[in-house]
Amino acid sequence: MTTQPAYTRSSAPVAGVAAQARKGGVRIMDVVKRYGTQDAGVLAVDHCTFDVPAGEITVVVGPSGCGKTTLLNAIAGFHSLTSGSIYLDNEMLCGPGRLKAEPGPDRIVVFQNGALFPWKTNIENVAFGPIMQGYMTRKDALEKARDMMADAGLRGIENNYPGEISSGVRRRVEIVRALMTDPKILLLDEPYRALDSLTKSVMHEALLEIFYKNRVTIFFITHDLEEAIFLGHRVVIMTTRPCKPKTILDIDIPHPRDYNVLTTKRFREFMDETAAAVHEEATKAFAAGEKER
Amino acid sequence: MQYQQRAGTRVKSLVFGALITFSALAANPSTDVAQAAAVKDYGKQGEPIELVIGYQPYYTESWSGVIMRDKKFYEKYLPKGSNVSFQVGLQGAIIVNGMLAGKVDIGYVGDMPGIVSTSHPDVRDIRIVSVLGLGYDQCNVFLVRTDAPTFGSSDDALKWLDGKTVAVPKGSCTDRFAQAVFKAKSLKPSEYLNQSIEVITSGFRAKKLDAAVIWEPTASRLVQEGLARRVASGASVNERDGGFMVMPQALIEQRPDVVKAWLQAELDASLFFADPKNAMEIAKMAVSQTTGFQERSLWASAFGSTPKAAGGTDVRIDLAFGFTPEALDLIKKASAFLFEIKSIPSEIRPEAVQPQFTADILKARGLTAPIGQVKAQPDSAYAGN
Amino acid sequence: MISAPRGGRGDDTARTKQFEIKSHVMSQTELSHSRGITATRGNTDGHVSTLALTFHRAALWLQSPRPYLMFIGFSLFLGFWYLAVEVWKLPRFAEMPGLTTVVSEWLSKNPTYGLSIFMEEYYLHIWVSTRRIAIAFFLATAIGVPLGLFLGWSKRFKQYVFPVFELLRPVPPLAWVPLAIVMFAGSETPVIFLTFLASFYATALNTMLGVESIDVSYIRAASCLGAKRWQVFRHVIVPGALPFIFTGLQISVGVAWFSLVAGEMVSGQYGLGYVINTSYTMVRYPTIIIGMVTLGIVGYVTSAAIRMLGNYMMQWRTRELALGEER
Repeated sequence: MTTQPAYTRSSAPVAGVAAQARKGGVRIMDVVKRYGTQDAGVLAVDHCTFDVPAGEITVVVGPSGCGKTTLLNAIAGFHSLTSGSIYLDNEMLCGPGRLKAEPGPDRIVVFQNGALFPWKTNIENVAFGPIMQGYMTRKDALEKARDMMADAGLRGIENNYPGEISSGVRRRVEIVRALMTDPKILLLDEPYRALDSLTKSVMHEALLEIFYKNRVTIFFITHDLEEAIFLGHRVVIMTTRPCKPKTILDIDIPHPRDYNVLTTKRFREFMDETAAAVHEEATKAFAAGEKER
Repeated sequence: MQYQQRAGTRVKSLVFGALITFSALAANPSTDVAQAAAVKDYGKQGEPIELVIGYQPYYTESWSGVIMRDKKFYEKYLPKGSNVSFQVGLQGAIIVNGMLAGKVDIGYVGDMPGIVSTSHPDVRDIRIVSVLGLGYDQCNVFLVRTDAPTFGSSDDALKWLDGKTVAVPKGSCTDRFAQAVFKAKSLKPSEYLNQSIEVITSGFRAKKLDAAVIWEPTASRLVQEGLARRVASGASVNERDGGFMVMPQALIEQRPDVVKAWLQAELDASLFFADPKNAMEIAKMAVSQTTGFQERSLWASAFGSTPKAAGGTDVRIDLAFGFTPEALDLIKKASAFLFEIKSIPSEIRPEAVQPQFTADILKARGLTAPIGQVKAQPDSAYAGN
Repeated sequence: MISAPRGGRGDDTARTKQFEIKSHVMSQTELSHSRGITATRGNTDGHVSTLALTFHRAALWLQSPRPYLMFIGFSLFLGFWYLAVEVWKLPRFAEMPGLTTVVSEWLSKNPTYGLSIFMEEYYLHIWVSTRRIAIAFFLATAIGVPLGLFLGWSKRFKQYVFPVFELLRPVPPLAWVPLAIVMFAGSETPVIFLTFLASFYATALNTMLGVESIDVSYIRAASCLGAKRWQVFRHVIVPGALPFIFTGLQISVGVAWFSLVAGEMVSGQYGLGYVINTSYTMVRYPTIIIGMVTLGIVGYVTSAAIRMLGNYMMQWRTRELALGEER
């Protein structure tokens, strides 16, 4: 099951939406990102190539500071590439001639520390995208936001401010906000890092529920291997900086998953397989004195 | 909630306790607010002494101080080893504040600050010991903007001031004079501004002021620089101005020897001032002790002449030294007026004027007050450039 | 194996904290059920209206020890003044005007030096000063906030403007007096200019820092969601910088008050700064203190008013902080 860059598509059946309707597939081809100059810079990403299949959850795991967020930022359009290219649904997002993409509502990011606007109420936050883009009136947008929040189990907090609700709930609101604009791909940058493990488990189930309903492609970064295997269709284990995929795993545990999965034999097999690899990279990172960006 | 209630009660009882203690203290009748402040120790008679002299080179009527600083007449009379330092005050009020704070020992001030200084015995008991000079156009100089209409007489000029913007540095001899003139002539300026000399100068320059009352030598400087014109003075309304020497009662009581010595030196300085041959030398002294003034302006402030129609006088300063009837009259009138406008809390105390020192010295030297006069000289007499 | 509860529909675990208002306060304030102010938000979930919240907080404040502690603080200060000057007569204190002198002058129907709470002139001075502060502060805010926002938002703009801004900033109002007199017509405008200066700098600088302090994630999130540059400015930058802006405004009104004393040297006629300046040259010591105390009180009130306005405008912070307060 574990291979170097060449990989095989998952043989596990994917329930739900038919394959051709899925969108948001990302192809990362030979991406290099260097901060600073040729001689005095920092190489963050070193000839990275892998696929993020449409309609699936791809989780990228790696030690802190290895460059995974740089990849996410490149897809989102916050950073430029040094070389290489990234494709979204077979159209070039960034690459030679256009090294930086523009941020847009087809690729929405959920940030590590949360980026719900504290000065807007929850419902105003959720309705923000459509209102800004102008394709819905304010009234319609608020109505849709109310419905989506209710669907996600967030009824009753519409008129509270983000500061009045717990951080776990804030994350969920943020994800609903991201989904309002019907994005092709959802980019999650260690979104549950700051939560305690009990809340995390609730968050995971919530995320999966949302995924099953919407079938949006998810690109998820974490350093928690258990989380990665639990959530992902595919897990990409990165080397320490500069990052490249070290191992790519297809997780053939069937969806829909719930927490009972954690105790299955298959799960433990995956953990055993990968733990050594991850630990190796973590030790290298530690020795190199990695700091959290 | 219960903890909060208990804490609240504790705090409230604390407040009560504080209130009761405070009122008890406040009600204590034995606090003697009128008791004099800490009195300075000037040493024993005959001992060398340290003196700080507050004087005003920017106030011509008190230029005996300028002469004193240059000629050092006091060295002849003070006990050997004494140390005298001179501090420049830009306004009499500043010197008075310094004296009340115990930081200045002898003050050369104008009539209003002089009288005001004697009116705070609870802070420090200060007395007037000598009359530096009396005049009609040393302090009481009315200036108007250069583009004001030409007036046939001072009276016309004063009438014009009705409804205009007039500025004076408050608390000075000019303040008293201006308010006295307004009352006497039933004038009401549209604005009566309290501004410092610099602000008044800028105001004339920017054409924001119609008139101002300023003392010499600034008056001469403004005229010389073409920023203002003289139109009237104390001579136009028969209002005198005066300069006084003030000293704290502590010094008078503890060291009459020093008071006598200083006044002897002051007499020498005044006699020097009265001699017209010394005019150029005095102008040069003034230049060295001031900044921003031309020698010509300084000379003119003491020795220059002005047409009568604009308030000019022949005798620029009456060097009284002692308390002439005119001087006492000025003090009486001025203090009554100052009390009326609430500048001083009560009429001047009789003991505030101490004439005996100057009287004794004049008698011993066979002179009478006034001991001389500073007369106006024609422009040709100015021997500078 | 821990089985976590499923986040279900209409589940109360979604709202883990709730701001609760005591029922007796709720019943008293008719606004408690979201009419009026929150009508625009279109919800009646027992969500608390802003005005009710303000009244509630004021009621809490009065019940707490805070006003009494404030009173004790003042009493101690005044007590020391009284004792130092009039009872113990400490060395440099004995020559100062005592508390009883100042208070009796201040409250006297016929004050020795002409200024007390019964004199019409007193209120004229307060009014003139307050008016100058109001105009200067308003101008400083109207110019300073937009300038600060642009300085923070556009690096190019900052490169052009900031060096000049910083060069002029340390120059105190007093140094501007002669230029102010020449540059501005009349006698009121220079005063307002001098008061405006320090106020403007405080506001502009704090606003700029406010913009720079906004977490870049918010800006990125807004871009992702499709907001154009000006929309980001309006929906993210301006509200995000508000806390800093209000801090700047509180500082700004404070420095306006103490620039006023320098500024009113130029005016020559009315105002609390004028009273203080003149009382010095007229050797009216109690009146200096009366001027200072009045200045302090009025300044305190203006500062508090801004604080309250800030709390009202930044409801999200007030509520967040309220949740952390003890009841």
